[in-house]
Amino acid sequence: MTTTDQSPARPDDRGQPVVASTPGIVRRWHSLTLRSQSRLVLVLVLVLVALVWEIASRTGLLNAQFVSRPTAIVASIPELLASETVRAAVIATVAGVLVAAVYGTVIGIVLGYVMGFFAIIRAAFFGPALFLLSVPKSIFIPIFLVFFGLNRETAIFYGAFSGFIYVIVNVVAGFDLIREQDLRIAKAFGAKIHHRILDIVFPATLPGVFAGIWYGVKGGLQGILIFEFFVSVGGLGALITQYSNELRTDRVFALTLGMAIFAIALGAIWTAIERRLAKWRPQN
Amino acid sequence: MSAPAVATQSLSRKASRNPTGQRPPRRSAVIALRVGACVLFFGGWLYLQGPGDMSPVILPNLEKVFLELGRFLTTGQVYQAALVTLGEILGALAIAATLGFAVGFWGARKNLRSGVLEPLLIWGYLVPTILFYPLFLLWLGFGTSSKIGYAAVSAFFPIAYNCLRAYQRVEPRYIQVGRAFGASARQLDWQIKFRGGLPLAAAGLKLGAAQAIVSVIVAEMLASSQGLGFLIQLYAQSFRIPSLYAIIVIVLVVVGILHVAVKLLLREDAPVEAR
Amino acid sequence: MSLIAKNLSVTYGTGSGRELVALDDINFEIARGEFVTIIGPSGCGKSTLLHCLGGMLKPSSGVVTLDEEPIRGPDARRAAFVFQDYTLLPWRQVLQNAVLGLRFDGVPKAKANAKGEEMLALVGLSDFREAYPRELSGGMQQRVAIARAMCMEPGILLMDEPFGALDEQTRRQLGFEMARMLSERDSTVVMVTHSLDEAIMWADRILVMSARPGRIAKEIRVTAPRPRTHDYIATEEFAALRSELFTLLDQDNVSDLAESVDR
Ligand SMILES: Nc1ncnc2c1ncn2[C@@H]1O[C@H](COP(=O)(O)OP(=O)(O)OP(=O)(O)O)[C@@H](O)[C@H]1O
Ligand SMILES: [Mg+2]
Repeated sequence: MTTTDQSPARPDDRGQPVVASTPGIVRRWHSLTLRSQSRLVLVLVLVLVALVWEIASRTGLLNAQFVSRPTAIVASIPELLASETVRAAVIATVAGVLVAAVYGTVIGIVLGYVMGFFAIIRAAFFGPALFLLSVPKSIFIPIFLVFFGLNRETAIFYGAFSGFIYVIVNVVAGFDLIREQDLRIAKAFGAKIHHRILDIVFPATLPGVFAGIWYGVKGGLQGILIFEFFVSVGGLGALITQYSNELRTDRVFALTLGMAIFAIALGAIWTAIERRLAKWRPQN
Repeated sequence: MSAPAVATQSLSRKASRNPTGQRPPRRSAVIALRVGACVLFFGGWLYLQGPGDMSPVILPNLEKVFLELGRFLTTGQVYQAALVTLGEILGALAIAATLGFAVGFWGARKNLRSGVLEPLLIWGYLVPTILFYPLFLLWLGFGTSSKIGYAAVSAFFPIAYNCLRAYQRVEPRYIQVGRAFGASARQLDWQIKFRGGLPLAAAGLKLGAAQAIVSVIVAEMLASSQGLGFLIQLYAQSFRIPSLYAIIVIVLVVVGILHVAVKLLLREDAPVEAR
Repeated sequence: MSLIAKNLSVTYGTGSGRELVALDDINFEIARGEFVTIIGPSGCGKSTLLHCLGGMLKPSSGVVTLDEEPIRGPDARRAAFVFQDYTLLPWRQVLQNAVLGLRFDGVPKAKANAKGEEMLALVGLSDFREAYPRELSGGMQQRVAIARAMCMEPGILLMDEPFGALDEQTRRQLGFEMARMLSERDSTVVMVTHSLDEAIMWADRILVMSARPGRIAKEIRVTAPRPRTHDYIATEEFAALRSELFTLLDQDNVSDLAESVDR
């Protein structure tokens, strides 16, 4: 038999209030919510990264030709904005992405609902769709090229293609969110088929559709960029390749980071809209 | 802010609900439908190359494609390329998994850390990583290391994000049980938190693997001198259309095998946070 | 009017190929305006029986008839449900959930909403008309489900443990309100409950079920006139019924009874 010898609680455990003796900045820090603390640290981390980058590049620790430096990147922005070629390339790519996303999501949503509504079609083709989702879509680029030729329309078709599988799969996944008990309620209270679609199926699948649209856009963006990197049909991809070959690393960074921020902003806006539309959903 | 909520890569294939009140479909009907689709596909192909009079530069002779396929399977070239590609995928995945697990587990231990890391990892999710491939080429050159580096970064984000989520919220009940039964801090860490988060972390690894496969092949297509992606690019550029179609089929098969392998290795099914 | 169950049996096919007899040869008749409570051990088939009565479930054999007409499917005007899991549609606000059946039935919005408000007031949730279900407690959601059924002004009300998630106080208060209203309307009610007090308090008749296979082990009449007041609980009749039910529901006795029914 063993006994554990617990040390008695120290008398100063409930002693002086700690806050009184701490300096103001620490107190301020502790009065912040975790969210604000995180944001603050996040900004600090980003600033620190930029600083280290700048110093390493200036001192020659990193080859400035390859990594550029934050000040140079910022400095390159005005000239990029002024350049007609850059503007044309950005517009071409962004417009292409939007058109591709529209094609991709519309086709994807229609096919997704067809699969969701007709169990037989889902049983036959959802598996293949999942497989197609998992393969690199880029291997089909050459086929798009031989069918549709070397031009921007082909890039758009390919962008739509690389998005639409995601849309289908997400919409079908939305059907799995339909709850058995909601269908039972509909039945017990005499819902007709259009009630069932509008009141049960549509709201329940909405999150899936929303996620699907996002992936349609992201797939479109990714697809068009890959296409532009793969063959020269202009657009941002061609421009980045060109600057990269010319070792204009500042411009490469300015364009890629700009595009990245654009994508992040798009995603954030989309999430906010989705939140707003689905405020009935239980928060986890 | 969080990434859109519905998981795509990890969906179960279980039979659908029937909002229209249908019976579950019969197996024979499903097979018939699939066979029908295949017949339509190959029938359409044969029609187009025969009476449809489509140029063989666009749609090659089906027979030639099969001949090429046979040639690929009996000569060493494709196997060698597949080996290169596989090596790059494994290398990238090893790096991404190690870093991803480390960052996720480390980040989840403190609220502030995960508060800072979460947006960063979500940004990684939202951005099409292909944007940065030219930089990898610039830094790591034309060879395999740029493929590995780029694919590792692409695979890192899903792995790290899911690990972070996995260890952020291990069921409080488990932790309570651990506490109640006198687990030490280390025991709590490894025997309860690590174990409890494993399913979600494994799901993240699955997503990471998928990402690594896709990224390596794209990277090879864009700039390289070996690997399966390179072969696609090679045949496309030299207009050897039957070979192009045949190599695409081979890549599909290889990717299929890899996915089955991943699925078998990481069997446990778990809900996934994002992707 | 009378609701008749005749030779009702339900057999579920379980996943592993086994068959489960949930209801076995159930027979009873319920007259218009009668309040019947069903009590029995968990899993004995009470919910299954209720689903059959409302046409949600097709019995494996036997029929349910209402005024000689066999019931083929659900119709909330005829028989409205309060389900055991009181499901509300999460994307509809409380009032919109309450008027669901009316809207399905094509009742104009204004008229439906007025009715919905009235029923929400009855269950004490007027202030929550614009809340989403996730903002309500389980008991509150259950009350919305009750309001949703009452909105239909159904000929028959089928309630599956409608007060299950409520505290004793609310349960009693809501019970009295509803009992008063139901007897004013002369509604027929079939209510599943696992509370002995509830089973006796409101009922004209109590059906006691036995488990596996689900059968009616005993019918008990409660003769005191309805609606009853609190005072009834203090009566000797109540006490006697209560102890009778208690003994019946003692697991062993229930199966003994089932066997005696067998013979
Ligand atoms: N859909 C179903 N498929 C298979 N078996 C079922 C199904 N629904 C119910 N059962 C079985 O039928 C039996 C009766 O179920 P039922 O839900 O009617 O019981 P209950 O009396 O309402 O129980 P409780 O008081 O716990 O609600 C149970 O043994 C249950 O396992
Ligand atoms: Mg029940």
